[in-house]
Amino acid sequence: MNLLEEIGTRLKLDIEEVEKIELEIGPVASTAAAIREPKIGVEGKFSVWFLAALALAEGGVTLEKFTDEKVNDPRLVRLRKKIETRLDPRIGFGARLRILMKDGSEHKAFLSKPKGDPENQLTFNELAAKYRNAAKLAISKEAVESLVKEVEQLETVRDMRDIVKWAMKD
Amino acid sequence: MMPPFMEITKTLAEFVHETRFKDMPEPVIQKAKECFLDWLGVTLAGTTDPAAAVIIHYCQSFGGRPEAGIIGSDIRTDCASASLANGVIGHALDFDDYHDETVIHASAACVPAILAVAERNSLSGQDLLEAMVLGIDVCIRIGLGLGDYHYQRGWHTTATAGTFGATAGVAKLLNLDVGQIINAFGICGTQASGLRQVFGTMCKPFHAGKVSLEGVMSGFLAQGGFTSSKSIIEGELGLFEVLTENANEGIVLDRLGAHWYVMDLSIKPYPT
Repeated sequence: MNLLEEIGTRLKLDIEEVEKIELEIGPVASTAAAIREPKIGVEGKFSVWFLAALALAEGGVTLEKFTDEKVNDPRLVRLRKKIETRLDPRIGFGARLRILMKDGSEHKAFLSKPKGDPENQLTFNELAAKYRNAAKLAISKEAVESLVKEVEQLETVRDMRDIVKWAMKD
Repeated sequence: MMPPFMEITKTLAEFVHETRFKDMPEPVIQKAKECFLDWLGVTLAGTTDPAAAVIIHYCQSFGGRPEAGIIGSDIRTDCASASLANGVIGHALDFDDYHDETVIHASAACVPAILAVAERNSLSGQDLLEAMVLGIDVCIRIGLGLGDYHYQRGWHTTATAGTFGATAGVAKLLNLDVGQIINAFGICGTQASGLRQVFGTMCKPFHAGKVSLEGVMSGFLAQGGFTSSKSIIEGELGLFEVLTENANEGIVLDRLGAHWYVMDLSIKPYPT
């Protein structure tokens, strides 16, 4: 997804002008995200075609996008039907991408290690941003921030009950 | 050269028993803290998933005395039920960390049981980190031993190998002796299951919950004197013979205590 998000954001492609997308992926993406025609939101997570279309078209694959409306969005459905995938067993969690446009132009990209991989790590700030966006759905802002501070010095925490209390609703 | 018959189960039990927080390098502890923070975030967000309401209702209906919290709720229940609920909720969004080669969602499998027992017994952050590093190490080593065929055949390694990680972590927190840890592995190992057929349903995160429950149950049963096989991993009818073909026994113990697999976990920027 990094690859498609990055291309989508950088080139600002008109997705209606895309003729075809060729995407080479590894064995796990091929088998674990193999739902060709997702119909409900949760199936979108397991559809490499939907995920790729979403990343290219909207530049952000976030939690709130796995809805029934989004997976059935005609614009994204049209785009995902233009995506052909091929298995490359050597590619792991990376990806190789070729986008052919209707005017004959093409864009190519390759990513060997996705963001978050030990060889392409999230910075602590990126990780904390992900955490904050997720945690705020369930607990107060004060609790969200207290947990960041407590976990940063977790080895000094004397009783894990002090951590859990912040992670629960009042 | 590895000996023709390795006592994998016993060696891993000794490793869990003997290894201390002070043996773990600083970057290893730092990575464990990052994985814990990430797990907290994805679990809190996971409370918005429909699976969370179902499992919380189940735990409210059947749970016992208030020993441990269900994250993101106001409910405290027995630590086995809390670990089940937090396991399901933590993996509900599929937004949690994973190990590339084995595809094990290691924190999702290990943290809920470890956190619930740490909370129940008023243990420290250092205790939690120690157990977490060991649990993650054990489950990934076993996942590597099971090899590609195991996952391709349809097994969900987060479940089948993850149960050993949750159990190792709980065993460490309970300060089990080597014999008890071997039994704990035997108790969890005979429950090792989880099919990829259920991907895309609530039963995928259920696997993380059930291994957390198994970790708590296996640790406490072993502590109480419950017995099992002494060679659940390498035995004639054990994990490596029954659930895969051509298991890689050598990789399980390779660089034990020198390479820490928590360092190899990927943290997902995307919820897929």
